[in-house]
Amino acid sequence: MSRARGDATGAPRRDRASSVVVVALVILFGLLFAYDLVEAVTNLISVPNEARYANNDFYAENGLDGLVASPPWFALVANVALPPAAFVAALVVARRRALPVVVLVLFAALGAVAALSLTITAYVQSI
Amino acid sequence: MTSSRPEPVDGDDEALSWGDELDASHVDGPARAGEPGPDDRPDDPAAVKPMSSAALIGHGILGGALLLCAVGWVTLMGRFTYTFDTPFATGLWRFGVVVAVAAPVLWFAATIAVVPAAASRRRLVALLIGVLIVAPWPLLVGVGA
Repeated sequence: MSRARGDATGAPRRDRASSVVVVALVILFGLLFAYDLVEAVTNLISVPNEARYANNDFYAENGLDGLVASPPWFALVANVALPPAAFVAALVVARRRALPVVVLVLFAALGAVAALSLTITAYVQSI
Repeated sequence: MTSSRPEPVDGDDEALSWGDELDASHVDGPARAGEPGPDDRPDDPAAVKPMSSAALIGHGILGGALLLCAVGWVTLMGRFTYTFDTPFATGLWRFGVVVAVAAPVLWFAATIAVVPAAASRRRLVALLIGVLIVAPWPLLVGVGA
C-alpha cells in the first residue's frame, strides 16, 4: 500500500493522493469485514446458549440422551475465522494493483464472506 | 460534407471513383504499417495471442455457473430477511444479503481483472474456486428450508 516509487517490475507509480484513497478504502472495507466478524462472534456466543443446547445436563441426568445436542462448534468458529482470513487474502491479492482493481478485489472478498456466512447461518439454523 | 465539391461530371463515374487527397470528402485512414504511428511499440506477444478454444469454453461454462449462483442467491434472499434490535444492525444485515447476491459477479470480474488472460489455467482454477465458494449452498443442499 505504501509503495510510492515504481520498481523494476513495472508496477505503476502511486502518488500520495491515491495512496490516501487506497488507505481510506481499505479502512472502509475493513469496517465492513469487521462487522461480519461481530455478527459471527455474536452467533458464537448466543447459539450455544439457545434453549435446545442449554438443557443438556438436565437431559443427560434424566436419561433423555436423544435430546442431548451439541452446538455446531466448527461452523461457528469457522464463521469467526472467515472475515479476517478473507480480508487478509484480499489485501495480499490487491497489493500494488490499480485502484479500481483494489476495490473490485475487496468487494469480491466481502461478497464471498457474505455468501459463506449465509450458508453457515442456514446450516446452523437447520440442525 | 457541406464543403463545395468539384462539379460532378457523371453520377455513375462519381460513384465509382474514390478521388484523391484533394477531394473534399477525403478522410485520412489509419497510418500504414511501415509508417511510425503514435504508439509504434512492438506488441507483447503474450498479450495479443488469442485465447484457446478450450479456455474460452471454460470461461463460458464457469461464467455461466457464477451467473446461476447469483440467480440462486436472489431466490434465497427471502429466506434471510431478518430484523434486528437496531435499524443499523438490520440495515447492515440486509446489505450483507445483497452483497452475497452480487458475490458471484464480483468474483468473476475480480478474477478477470487480477489474473491475466495469458494464464488461462490459473484463471479457470480461480473461477472454479469462486463457484465453490459463492454457490448458493442453502438452495443446493436444501438446508435451512
